[in-house]
Amino acid sequence: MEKSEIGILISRADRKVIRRFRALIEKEPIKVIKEPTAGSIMVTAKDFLDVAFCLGEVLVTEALVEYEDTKGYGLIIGDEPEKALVLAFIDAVYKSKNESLKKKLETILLKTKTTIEEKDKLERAVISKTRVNFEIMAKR
Amino acid sequence: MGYEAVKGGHEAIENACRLFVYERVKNVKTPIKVEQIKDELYLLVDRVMSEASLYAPQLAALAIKQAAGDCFEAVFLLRAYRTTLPRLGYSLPIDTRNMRVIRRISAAFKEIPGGQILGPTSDYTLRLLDFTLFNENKKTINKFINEFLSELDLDVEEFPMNFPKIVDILRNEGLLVENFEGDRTFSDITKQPIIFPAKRCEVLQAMSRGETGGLLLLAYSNMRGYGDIHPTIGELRVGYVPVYIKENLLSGEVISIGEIKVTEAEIIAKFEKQEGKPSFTLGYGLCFGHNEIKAISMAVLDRAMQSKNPQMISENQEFVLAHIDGVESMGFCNHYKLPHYVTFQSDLDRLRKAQKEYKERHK
Repeated sequence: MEKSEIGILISRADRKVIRRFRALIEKEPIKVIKEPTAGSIMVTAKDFLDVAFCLGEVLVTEALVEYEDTKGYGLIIGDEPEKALVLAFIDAVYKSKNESLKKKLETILLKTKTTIEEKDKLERAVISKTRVNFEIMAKR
Repeated sequence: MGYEAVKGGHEAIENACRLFVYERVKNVKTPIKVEQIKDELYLLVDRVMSEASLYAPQLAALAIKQAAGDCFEAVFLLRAYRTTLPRLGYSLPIDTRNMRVIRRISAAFKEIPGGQILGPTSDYTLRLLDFTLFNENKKTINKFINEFLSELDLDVEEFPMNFPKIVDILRNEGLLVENFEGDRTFSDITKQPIIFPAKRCEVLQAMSRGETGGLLLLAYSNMRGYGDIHPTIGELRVGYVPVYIKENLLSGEVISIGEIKVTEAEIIAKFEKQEGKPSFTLGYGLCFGHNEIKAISMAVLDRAMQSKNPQMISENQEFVLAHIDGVESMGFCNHYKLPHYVTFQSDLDRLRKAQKEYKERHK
């Protein structure tokens, strides 16, 4: 799994999944360096001329933790202190040498990915019902 | 005649604030939950977030409740809250090509790669009041959802994950104006005020946080004939785009932080000659949430303001950008309700003096 995609997974994960991560965290010697704090990120975009501009800010929650002398950073859209901590924890574990814990995390992440893909499949099925099939009304 | 400044009214003001809350709750049997506003009035929530320039659905719903449904007031509340947040940085530019599309249409082409996806829209409803909603409850909702989902074909393999952009097709055929002679440099109007003529990024930022009605009014003037850009919607898409940042605190990695819902409109306008070659011109609109009127109006105004020889109001960059911010315009309008006793006394003085002079002249 691409590490850069983990943020989206956690962001879309439901509370049950987050509780599973929390259960793992609670067993580990985690030091919270920065408690989850609200802030904003300015979202930028590019127009058709490739000119970058500011679209507007998004509410985010930021957290910083330390695990086995490795720092981990969590930043997530929304007022989501729990998810920010989970992300920071995942980041620290991915950067640490603890391969067995990394594997455990990956198992939950992959399961989360499958659940979200199922959700997306349902959404696509709903949306695909609105795809237009044009009929030719009269031949010239 | 002298005049006096006044102070006071403290108690009356406090009571008026409490009365505003009382008016909202006095007949309430079951208070609306913020979650309900977020889910059921999602288009209003989207509009508030977009105009406040802060993507935060939960807080936008809260603002709507607190403002008793007054959209301007809700936007003001959320915009004010925005100023209390520490700015942690800038995202990498979002790419709408990666959008998880829920709606995507083109008025320019019938057949588009991936197809026309109507998505959730009220465009084709008959605009007849649905009286059954008076009795909507959990049971009727479940019945509707079960019926709706039971007809689903979950075999969606051939349904694209992402959709190509129409402008890319036109671009590949060499039909679009590609040159941009203006200032491409990046800046942020929340950090530095606009100095006219505004840079392209400032124009787009100001419009993306503009008030929907204000944008529509100016764009509508152009559509009706006070302007001549003749827009066609090349593509209108709504959906969720991932947001990435470069995390500079620890490792400098690119990380995703979630996704946001946006509406994007690209309008194709009349063609112009670029270095002798006739090409289509474009207008661009992008805003938070699902707000098609705003994105289309933004795109029309974007194109209108690119006019080489601005004649109409909608083509005048300074006029458009100075009048589209909802918080500014409602604030200015509202300030007239504040005491103007001193300035009005001055007006009275001048009028009485003028009348006295008039009487003396006409004795």
